[in-house]
Amino acid sequence: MPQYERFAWGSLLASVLSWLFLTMRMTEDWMVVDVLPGHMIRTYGAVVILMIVAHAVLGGLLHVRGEGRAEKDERDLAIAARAERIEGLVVVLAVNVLIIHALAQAAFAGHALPSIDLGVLPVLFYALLSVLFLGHTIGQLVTIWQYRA
Amino acid sequence: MTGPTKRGRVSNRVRALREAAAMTQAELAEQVNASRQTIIAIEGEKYAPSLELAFRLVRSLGAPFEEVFSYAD
Repeated sequence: MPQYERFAWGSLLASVLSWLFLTMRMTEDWMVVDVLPGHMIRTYGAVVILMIVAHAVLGGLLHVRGEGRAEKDERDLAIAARAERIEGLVVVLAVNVLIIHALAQAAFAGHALPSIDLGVLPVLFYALLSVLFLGHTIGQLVTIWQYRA
Repeated sequence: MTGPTKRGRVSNRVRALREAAAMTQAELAEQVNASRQTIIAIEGEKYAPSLELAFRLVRSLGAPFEEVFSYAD
């Protein structure tokens, strides 16, 4: 398995675990709970540190295995570029879904849409971080898929 | 177009010529400054190399360009 594919698997796992941690801190029964800003700041800091440490450990593990950091060749770069492009598109799409949902929710009273109240800070915080995690996860999946295709 | 490609559009004889030259994938990869996985992908026609890498491959394999790569419309 190419080194960068292994890294993508590790990054995917780190992303999913970090999102689960975020969900654990911000929800009860999959509903976002009202928390204090201090709780969100600590959660945000912990998530950022989790991701940084996970990626440092991943890089370290590859180094311990004596492989060093292989130079990316043109195929690795092409795969990374496509994954980043799709990751960006996913984030743009997800943000647009949130915007359209918020507008529709405000415009059509008594609708059947699930309620996502972006006017509440914890909901906005959880929704935006989840969008970032979704983008990163899709990016890693695209990377893995391209190495295996 | 460089990058992941549908099998069959750009075909090549890299594997046959490499084996004829008694070269391993790792040796060819080192000569053309690519990874072994990239050579595997090129030989399996899952990846179309850039023009630059294609020229390096042709030079390493010691064959004319048209003998190594062909393109079907």
